[in-house]
Amino acid sequence: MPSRIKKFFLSFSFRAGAVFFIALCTTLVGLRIQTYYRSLYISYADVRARIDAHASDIDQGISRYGAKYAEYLVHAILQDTSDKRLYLLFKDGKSLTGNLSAWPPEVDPKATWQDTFIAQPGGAPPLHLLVRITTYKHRRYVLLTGYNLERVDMLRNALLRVTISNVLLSLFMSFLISIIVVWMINRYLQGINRVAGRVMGGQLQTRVPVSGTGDQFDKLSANINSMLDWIVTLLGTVRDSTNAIAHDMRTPLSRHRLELRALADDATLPEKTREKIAAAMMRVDGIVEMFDDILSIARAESRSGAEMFAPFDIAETVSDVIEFYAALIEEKPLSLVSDLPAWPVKITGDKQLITQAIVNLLDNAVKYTQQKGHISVSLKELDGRIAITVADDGPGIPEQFLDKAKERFFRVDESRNTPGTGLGLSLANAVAGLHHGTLVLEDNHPGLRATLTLANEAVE
Amino acid sequence: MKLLVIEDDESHAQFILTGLREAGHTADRAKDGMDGLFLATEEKYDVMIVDRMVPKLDGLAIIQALRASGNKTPVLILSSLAKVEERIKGLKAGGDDYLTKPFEFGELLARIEALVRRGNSEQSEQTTLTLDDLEMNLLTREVKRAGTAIDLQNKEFRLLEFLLRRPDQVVTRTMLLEGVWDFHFSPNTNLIDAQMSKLRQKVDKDFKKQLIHTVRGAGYKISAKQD
Ligand SMILES: Nc1ncnc2c1ncn2[C@@H]1O[C@H](COP(=O)(O)OP(=O)(O)OP(=O)(O)O)[C@@H](O)[C@H]1O
Ligand SMILES: [Mg+2]
Repeated sequence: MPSRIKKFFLSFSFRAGAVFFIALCTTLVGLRIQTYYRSLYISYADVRARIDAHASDIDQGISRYGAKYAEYLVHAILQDTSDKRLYLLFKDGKSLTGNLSAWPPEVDPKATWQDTFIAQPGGAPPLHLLVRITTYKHRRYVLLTGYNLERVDMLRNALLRVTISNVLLSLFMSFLISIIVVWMINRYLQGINRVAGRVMGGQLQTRVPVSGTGDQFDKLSANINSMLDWIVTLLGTVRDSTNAIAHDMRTPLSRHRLELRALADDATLPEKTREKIAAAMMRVDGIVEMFDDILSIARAESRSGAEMFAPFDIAETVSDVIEFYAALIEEKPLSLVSDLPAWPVKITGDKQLITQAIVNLLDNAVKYTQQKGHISVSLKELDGRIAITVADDGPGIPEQFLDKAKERFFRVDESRNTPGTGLGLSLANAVAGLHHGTLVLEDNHPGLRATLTLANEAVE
Repeated sequence: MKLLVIEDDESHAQFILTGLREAGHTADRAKDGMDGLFLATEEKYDVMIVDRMVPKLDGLAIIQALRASGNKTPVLILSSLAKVEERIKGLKAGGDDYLTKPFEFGELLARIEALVRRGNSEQSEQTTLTLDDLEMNLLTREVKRAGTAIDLQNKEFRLLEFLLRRPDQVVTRTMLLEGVWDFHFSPNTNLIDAQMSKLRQKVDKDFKKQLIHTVRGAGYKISAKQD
């Protein structure tokens, strides 16, 4: 499980989505927050401007008409109580006038601007004030002007609520848009993937739809389509040329064989000669067989054989092959144990090629394992794959040749005196590839263990 | 019987014609597709041997034309195209059997004879097959020889059934591979001999009269006649 989660976080979809989400989110949320601070700043600046206006009125009054005027002015201003404005005018440390009885301890007389809370008598909630301290006439007069920030606070609260809901909305929208964009890209890619899957599954005519908008996605689709056209042409060439090779090789070889047959049957020739001719004839058969195998391998490797795919019971095929070899196994003698499911195991594939691959594996086990050796054959189904294992306790293949053994014509030196062409494992390997599987050769301590795995995705 | 051979390759044609004559048959030969189609529609043949790649008219086209006009003469396709797909194409076009070059003449002859017999005795749904004192029940899958039960494995049963359905006919190893095992490639054909000797052990060993015979250079035959 953790690896799946890790894979999800590493996936392109997740990373693209995350980048898109972060970009969109930063922009939208940043904009909201900026609006919030701007609005707050404006209303704050407004309060300051008002305080400044009053303070300069009083300042002018003092300088023009004397300190007494300021007292009146403060008095007059204080008649309007709606704002809960606070004024206090001090002269030489003594209170002159104002709606405060004493200097509030929360206010620092030395600072100019202060944003502070002042306790109210009688348990009322403290007042939130913006306070300005102004001094006149060489600090003889000190004016405290406090402006109630209640409205600003209300505005801030309202703004905060709006901003939070806007931020949440932005987050949600960014998330939604990111998912939609990623989904659109994924859908496009899935379309391409589906087409690729169908083509690999043998439906060679499938193409990616082209919308005609001429954008980059469209160009990609068009390019993929022309690549597919090219592959189809190449496959056609492989098919045609293997057909041509088959025909052009078989006809003369067949003619050759007919002539050998006529000689082998010619009673006027000495027996010895006729035997040699018959042997030469068998070698012609060997060459034809080798050609068949090479062509089968070429076609399986080029994946141009999917038109022969059909569903069949592979458990039956394996048991048929075992039965086919039973007589030889008894004769040698060897012992064979098989572990096959008792029920049918359906697979969609090329039955002839798969049968041939299994025959090749069992043929090797029977051929290379010494008398009284043991062979085991098993068929296992594991999540959509079918694994057929043929193991023996014969000489096996040296570690360094395990991979090479799957190459065409490769034979271990010790095997050179046993009949064979070295194509058996190559064919099994190509057949595995054709069915999206693998052929794995391992040391069986002692002996060889060959596992042919075939994908079984087409089964319903 | 009377055969038509449509084959452009001179040495193949001569070899087949000689062989057929030696086996007591008469045969006409067409060098190209047009000639072949003409002869096939003009004369009455028991079997036709058709090469797929002949000049002027493709072998499969000849067969399709004949089948479309209601001609049911058995056709054996002889071709150097060996793939299973090609074989299926040939049978779909109306061919009755498919043999690839190179081939043994015995193989060709056995297949021709099988085709003729198949045409003569349109097989009715039998439930038991018998030959002499050998008896096979296809429903209960019981096999008895002179009243004694014989225990056969799955493929041994199919092998014996295949033979019993073709009494007195030569059955080649390739025919057995295709008909009993559905193997359309050439595995080690010695294995057929090994299978056959196991079957013989069970069917013939304890009896004086041998039913399964080896036909040199061709294959096997089940027959009550002693030679
Ligand atoms: N079960 C086995 N035990 C030991 N060696 C093996 C086994 N299977 C394969 N090999 C080695 O791998 C080589 C390649 O095997 P492969 O089946 O491809 O060819 P081959 O058996 O030599 O010929 P062919 O199968 O074409 O008749 C063999 O020659 C043999 O040396
Ligand atoms: Mg081999």
